[in-house]
Amino acid sequence: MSDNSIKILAGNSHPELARLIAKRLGIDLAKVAISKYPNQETAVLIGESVRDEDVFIIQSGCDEINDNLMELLIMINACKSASARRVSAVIPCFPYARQDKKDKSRAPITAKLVANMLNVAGADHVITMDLHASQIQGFFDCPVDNLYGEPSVLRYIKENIPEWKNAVIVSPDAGGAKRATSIADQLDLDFALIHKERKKANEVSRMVLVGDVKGKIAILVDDMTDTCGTLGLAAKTLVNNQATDVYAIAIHGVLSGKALSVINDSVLTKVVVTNTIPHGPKKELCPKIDTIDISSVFAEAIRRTHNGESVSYLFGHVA
Amino acid sequence: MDSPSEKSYRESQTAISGLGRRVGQLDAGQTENAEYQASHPDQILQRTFNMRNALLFAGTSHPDLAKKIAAHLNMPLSPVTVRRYPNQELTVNFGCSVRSQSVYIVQSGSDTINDHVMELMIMVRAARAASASSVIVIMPYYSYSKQCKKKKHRGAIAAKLVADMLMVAGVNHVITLDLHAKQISGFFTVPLDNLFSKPIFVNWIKRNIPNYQDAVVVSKNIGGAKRVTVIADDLQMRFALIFTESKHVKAMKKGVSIVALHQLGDENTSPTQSQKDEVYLNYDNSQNNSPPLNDFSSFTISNCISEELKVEEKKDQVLNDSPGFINPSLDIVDSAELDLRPMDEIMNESDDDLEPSVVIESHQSRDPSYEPHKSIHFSTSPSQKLASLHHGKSISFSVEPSSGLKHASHFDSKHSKPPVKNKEVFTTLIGDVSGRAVLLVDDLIDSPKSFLSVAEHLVKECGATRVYICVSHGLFTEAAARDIDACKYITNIITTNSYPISQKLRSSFKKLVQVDVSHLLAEAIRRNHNGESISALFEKIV
Repeated sequence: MSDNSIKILAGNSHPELARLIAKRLGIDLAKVAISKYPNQETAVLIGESVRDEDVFIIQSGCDEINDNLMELLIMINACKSASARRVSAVIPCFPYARQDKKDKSRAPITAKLVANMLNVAGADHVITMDLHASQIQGFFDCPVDNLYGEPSVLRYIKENIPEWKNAVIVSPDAGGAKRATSIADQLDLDFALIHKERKKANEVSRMVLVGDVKGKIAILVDDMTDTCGTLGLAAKTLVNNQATDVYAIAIHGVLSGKALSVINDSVLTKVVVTNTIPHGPKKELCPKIDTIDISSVFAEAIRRTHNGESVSYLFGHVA
Repeated sequence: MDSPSEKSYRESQTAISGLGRRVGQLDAGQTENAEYQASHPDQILQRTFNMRNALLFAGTSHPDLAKKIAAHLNMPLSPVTVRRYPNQELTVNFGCSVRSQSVYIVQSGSDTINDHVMELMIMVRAARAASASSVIVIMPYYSYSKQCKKKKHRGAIAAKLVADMLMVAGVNHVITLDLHAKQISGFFTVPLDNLFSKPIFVNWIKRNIPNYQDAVVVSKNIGGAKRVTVIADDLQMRFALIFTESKHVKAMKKGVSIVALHQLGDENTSPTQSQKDEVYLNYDNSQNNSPPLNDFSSFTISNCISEELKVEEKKDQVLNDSPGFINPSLDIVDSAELDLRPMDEIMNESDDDLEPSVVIESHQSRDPSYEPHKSIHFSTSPSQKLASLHHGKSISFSVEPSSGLKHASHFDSKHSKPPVKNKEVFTTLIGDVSGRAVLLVDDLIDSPKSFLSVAEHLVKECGATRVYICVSHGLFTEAAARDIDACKYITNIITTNSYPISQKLRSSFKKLVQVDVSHLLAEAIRRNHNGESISALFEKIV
């Protein structure tokens, strides 16, 4: 590491991931005390000097998403006003990323708001993974490194899905087609797409499979799975079209609401998510969930950012 | 769809028509004077009072559309002078007071897009400086909208830059049509209304395509899948996708890289003794595609001129000039830097986020900077650092086999095939179109090459009966029009009039159908001015 040293700070959202990253980098997490006042305001105390340090704050957007976001903003601001040389926000799962456009009249572009808030708080750099739309990078006035979980997903498929060569990569909706084709390309597999046909607005009348999965393993690929409703329906459609096995892989596994029971009741063989969002306890309730560890990608990105090396290597490789 | 009142604007039309094209072509020393006249005093009286305190100005890029909008709003275009100084700087002069008025400026793109962007900025600034109460820009075609995200290697988000520039210039509101990515509205901190031409297209399809419900909507790339499904849902039609497989993409655009990955992977990441003397060259090539230092300045100039011919000359010249130093990367640099491919090819590639990663991979795999002992070259050669600024457009270089150059011998065998051939081989249709008419839908057409080959594929290989092309923004050149007219597989091409097409081209372009969006833009302006909701315009024609 270069002259001025590096400090890794972890918020409350995902301490496990922060520990993995710090371990990978061979350093300890800096001391931070985060507490709440009785009126629910967040209080942050940085336990060691960050003056002229290169500070990385790891905070994912999950669970108590607003508390976590506020905590991140306060931490950034605390470091900034404590004369940190540079403050980088490491946000494995970017909060509010799905509100990135005015898809309905008068819809707010909350992702832009979050970007502005981060900039105002004093973030000099943002590291994140698989933004819902990569245009979100343009919402910021500071550099954004959008890492990709794809290399890790490719490796997972090759190592953990037996007979993956007999698989078809399926996108559960038209918007995710690019992501799926890219994976299909790199594995040299076929590709199919599921379309939710809407006879009336907001009413999925039926799912249509475009492409062929007969007698093959179907691997559903998406960037985020929340309640898993779409995945459950898509899996059913695939099995009806004579797919032998259905896997689902998503980068960000929010797995909220009825997700666990949906997965347990579905025909899905496995639901694979990365650990950008913590889901340890959920795994115990739902044995079908499998995890891809992406801490190494973030650790390497942090190391390269700190040392001023190119990060683009990580876009195509597992660190 | 000319409105009757348009006739009365003919006078001003003659005054300004063609200016957009001429602006870019003035010789130094000339001064261009163009004035928009509020041609008749009657018209000012005619002005309906539902647009009180509003002035409508037209930039020089698309006066026809501006006049149609004005006609729909039943208000005149206000006078504005755009002049060009001998040193090519533009200056703008409003011919009437704008104080405390809402100023609406209509400016689209054109083939001299940078001039028109600059002109728009100056107009916005001028209106701001002249105490306009608000400045609203109507950009039917949002310039630089294709560059709306960072490609994986150090690309600029130019759409964001345009947004920033508009806001710095002082715009209060932006109205645009069919943005390439809806997220662009998030680049602004001022409101942006993204209108949709979909209802107009849907209307045209219903009226003009017999048995349209039996037709199939097709996207010519995976990135457009969403766009296509929206129209298909609306019309209760079938849809299908064209999937250009990686093999094709790799062979077409990224041959060098891919082969490099497979073939050079072993050799170059850990060079053998015999290759040691080439390490610098290889590095040069893989890292930044940079020319040697002594060539850099002249290269930059040729880059600006950006003509394929020049590139050829350049290549020869350098090879002859410095026989002692054969620079293996030069031709790669040239074609990569200049990136002369048509806009829609570039944008399709940007549509496919993950394609460039392949390039990155291979660059990196050959990148000796990962091996400490060679990074000395890196730090001691300023040219490479300079040239790294130009990195990031390297996709196209593999199209031409680079024969005669040292490193190129690795690739020749695999890339001697003409790219077009490869394309046909690897184009796959997902879905079924046999015996049906096809609507090929996209948001922008620039060079028709990919559309033509997809249309041919659909008719010849997949049994489609007819192919209609539907694109929101038609950026046509004469060559493009000729190619489309000559292609027997295409029945019609339907675009909006968001982008200017010369009268001459329009009259010779037989297959072109232009649907008018001026009433949509006019209605959006009117509603915006009167504080009414615009969302009603999204789903149906008002």
